[in-house]
Amino acid sequence: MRTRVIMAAAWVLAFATLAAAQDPPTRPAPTDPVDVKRSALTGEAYGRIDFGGRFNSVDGDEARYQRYRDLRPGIYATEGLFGRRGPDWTLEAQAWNIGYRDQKFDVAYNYVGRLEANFLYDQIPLFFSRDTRTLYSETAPGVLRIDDAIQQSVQSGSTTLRDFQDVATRFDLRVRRYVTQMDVVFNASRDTDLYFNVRSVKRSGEMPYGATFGFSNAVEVAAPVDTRTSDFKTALEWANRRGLIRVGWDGSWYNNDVQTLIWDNPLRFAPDAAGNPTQGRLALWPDNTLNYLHGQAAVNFARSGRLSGYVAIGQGKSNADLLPHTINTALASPELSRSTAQAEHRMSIAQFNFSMRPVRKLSVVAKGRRADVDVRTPEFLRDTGDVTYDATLRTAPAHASEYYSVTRNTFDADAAFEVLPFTSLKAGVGVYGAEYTNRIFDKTNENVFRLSLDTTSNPYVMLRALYENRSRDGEGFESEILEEVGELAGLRHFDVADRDRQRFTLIASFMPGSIVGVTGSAGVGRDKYPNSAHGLLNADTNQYSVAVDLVPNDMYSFTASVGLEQYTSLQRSRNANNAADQANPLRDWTTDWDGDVKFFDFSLDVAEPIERTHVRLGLDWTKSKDTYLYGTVDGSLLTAPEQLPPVLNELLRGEVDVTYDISDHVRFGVAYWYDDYNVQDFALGPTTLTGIALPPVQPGQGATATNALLLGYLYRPYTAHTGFVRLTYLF
Amino acid sequence: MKRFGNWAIILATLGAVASVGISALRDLAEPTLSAAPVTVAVSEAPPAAPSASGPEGQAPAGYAGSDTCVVCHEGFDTTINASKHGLARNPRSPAAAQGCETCHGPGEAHTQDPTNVKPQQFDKMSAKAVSDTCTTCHNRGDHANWQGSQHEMRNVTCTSCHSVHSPKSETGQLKAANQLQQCATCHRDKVNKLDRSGHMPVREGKMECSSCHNPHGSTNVRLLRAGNTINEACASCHAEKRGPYLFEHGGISGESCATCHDPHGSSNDRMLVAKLPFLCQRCHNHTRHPSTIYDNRVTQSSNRLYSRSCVTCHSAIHGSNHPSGSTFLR
Repeated sequence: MRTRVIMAAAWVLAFATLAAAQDPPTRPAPTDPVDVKRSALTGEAYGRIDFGGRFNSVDGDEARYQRYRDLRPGIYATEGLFGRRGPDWTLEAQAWNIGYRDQKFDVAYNYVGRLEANFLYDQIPLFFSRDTRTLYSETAPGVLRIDDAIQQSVQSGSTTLRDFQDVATRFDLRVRRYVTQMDVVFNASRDTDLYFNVRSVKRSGEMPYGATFGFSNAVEVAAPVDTRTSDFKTALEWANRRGLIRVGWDGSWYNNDVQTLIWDNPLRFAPDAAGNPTQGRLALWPDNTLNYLHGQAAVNFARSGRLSGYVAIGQGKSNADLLPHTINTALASPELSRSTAQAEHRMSIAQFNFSMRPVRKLSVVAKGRRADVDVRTPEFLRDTGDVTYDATLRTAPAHASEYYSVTRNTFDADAAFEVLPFTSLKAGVGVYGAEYTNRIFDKTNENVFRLSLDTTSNPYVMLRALYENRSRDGEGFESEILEEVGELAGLRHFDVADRDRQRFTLIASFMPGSIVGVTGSAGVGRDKYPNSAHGLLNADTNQYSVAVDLVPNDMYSFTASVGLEQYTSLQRSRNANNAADQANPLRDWTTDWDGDVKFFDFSLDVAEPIERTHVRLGLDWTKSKDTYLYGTVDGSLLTAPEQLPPVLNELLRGEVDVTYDISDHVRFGVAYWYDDYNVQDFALGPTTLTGIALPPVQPGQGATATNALLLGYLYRPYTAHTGFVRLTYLF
Repeated sequence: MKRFGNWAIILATLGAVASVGISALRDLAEPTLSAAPVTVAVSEAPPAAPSASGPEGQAPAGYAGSDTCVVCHEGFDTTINASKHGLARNPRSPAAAQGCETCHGPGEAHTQDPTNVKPQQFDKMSAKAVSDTCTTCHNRGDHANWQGSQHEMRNVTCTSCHSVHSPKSETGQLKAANQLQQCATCHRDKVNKLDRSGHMPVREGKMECSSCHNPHGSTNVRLLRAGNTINEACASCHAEKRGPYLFEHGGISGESCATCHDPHGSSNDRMLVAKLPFLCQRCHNHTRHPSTIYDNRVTQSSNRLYSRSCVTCHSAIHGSNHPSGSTFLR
């Protein structure tokens, strides 16, 4: 069987080789790159604007439908383009969805051979929920309060939070990025460029955030977001066919105007004898900075040789003022061992890349890289204790802070040999090492072997096959790190655990003629963690797809693809609250994840079925199903689990777009989009989250029974119909 | 010792590159060409630097001139002239040198015997030869790290994705209509993930594959465009997550966001690689609550299973600046 497969592959490659020696079936005629005829003539202006009316009807979760976009009905103008060029310069200005939350503007100016400048303004919305409700209102930046009467009533036991669900304020939960960016490249000489990049990203709005007072009182709030990230990058680069030298500096400053979140305890208005909190306070994201100096040099030499080296040294800092341990005045807040974070990372990266073709058909590449993240933050001591959930004072010395420096060393060597025209066989090895502080392993070492076969640039066949085998071993296991936090002795964190990984991918495309192409792909991945008794034990993937492209003539263009992806993993845990239980394997249980994704899509373009008309049809369908199956051992001491229902996600998107060229400059179009999203999620669906106060009071529970006050951010289905009537003006 | 080791490696890298560089760069000036050598038949050698021309108004020896090319190859100059390749005032452009023959090589012999003598035909050249031609000019900026990059070593070449004469995209001269379609040619599994409920705004057109990746090679891992590590690439947009913090989460700080998140998309909230609490339970099996089965009996009563699950309480999971934030509760 294997011989036959090899023979078949050889025949395919041999055919492809012979065929490629002939003229390709057709040489594509040059086409204009875009709909707009970008001018090749000096001084001529060109452009386009697309405007019209948009209508929609959404049944269900409108926020998810408009997750990162703004499709509100109304008059719109988008895909505007204005361009002009002179003998020494070009100018292009573009705009999308003007006036809407996702509007974007871009202006590019090129003073030919001297300067390239690009300005970008882009708004990226993130719409979480339209149906969110909360009892909180923001009285000052970062301060969320609940009506005193509600707190008093709940604390008295006469009501529950669920009784106030109807008075909760409904609001849109959304956040938006405002990106302003300027890129400038000065062409100082034929070989020398000077780069500048300035980018400022303001982010504002609200996002769901956990803010709790303990296991039995979980709260979700709309945390205010009011931040700005300012980046500045500059570099000087000299490059030509001889080599390259580049030096640069990257600086980034993150500023958060709301670094503290204070919120009311929904269950408690007045302090009680036990010292339970009436408010909570947590630290939101602190200001930070990141700076890098970097340099790169490369030299080219004979036989397509190139040796390049890159070094970078950087520093990340954050020195925000520290909050007291608690806002709860009923507790004596432990003293702070210092008043500011004094957090610092120092990074250094050094790498080289050597590539050469010692003989015409052989390429060799060697790469080495050392990346070091050295945490320099002084240990934060808590000798006088700490406070949990603003509720529990622990006066015994608490754990000091621990930091996780890591140094990664990687070396790869690959050799590719052109076994047939257009076909290269590559073999490579890699040796990866990492050194850690405060992880369960001091070091990990990973050996990699890979083999690939790639046929490209052939007009008839594209074949890509890759096999990769990796073996990672930990060194210097430190069991006390697990013991210190009460972890099971057999647990291994999967990102550093011993691991055997195998990957195989295959992509094969056949283009027997200019009118048809067929692509099949398969991927198989196997991760096993052989020395992990608990934690992740294995994770496997299988992926298969087939795609067809059909262009029988100038009128029709059709593409379709169908595929299946499978994901499985097995992890083991042990229900153990004391040392005796920790040693008892009859308390073991497993979670077996079985996920599969099916997809299908097609598109059909029909040019001029009626004169001057273009029709486009598209369909995109994806359905995923994830099952998390609990298992116990024979003779288990645990109660037999009641299995969770599967998680289902299904998205269907359809599109019809018809345009009619009224003239060479004016095009009329109508389009219709159909979106249908179905979801069933046991954790985030409306079947489980039946209100913002959970759980509903059950028979036998006290009147104050509640363990969560949420926002009502759910995973809900939607069905949307969107229509466009538009005119496109081309000039 | 560790610090010394880092600096030693940095200096050694600089030294090695510098020593080779100094010797190679002694001849920094571009060679002056009175005329590039004539290549005949299908050549796999990149054309010589097209910086010189013959007597004023004439093509150098061996070259026919673009005007001659378009006599037969009608229309092939149209898109060139509308693209950056056609900006003759840019001394780096092909138009400023020998036009068509800058890339395709001297064509005079071809004009004399069109059947038997061919200039460089990119669809008949090996991937490496195509790359050699294009990187004659595209050797800086985003393209500086092409040689030895993952794509180059998998026999991908410039014309695998780009078409100089027949591009279908508005930008980037791609062979497909947009980046998603182009990248899906080989990375269909990644592109498919964009249709999951948790995804970045790629399918909405607010990001592209190249927002995160530089397919031409990079100094970061996995062809990432920004930063020097996976985390730094992610934090170039999610700067609030980069810290450093007073309390940091092992496996996150200095490591990889992709341990927990799938940046290409997933069916889980926040693009997590597995659903909560199962993801957290892959590493946290300790004696307290995480080692418990949260089954269907508790779906409506346990905040450790529903809604935000573990991060309802451990909300500062990426790191905390709160003095009592060691377990990321504050």
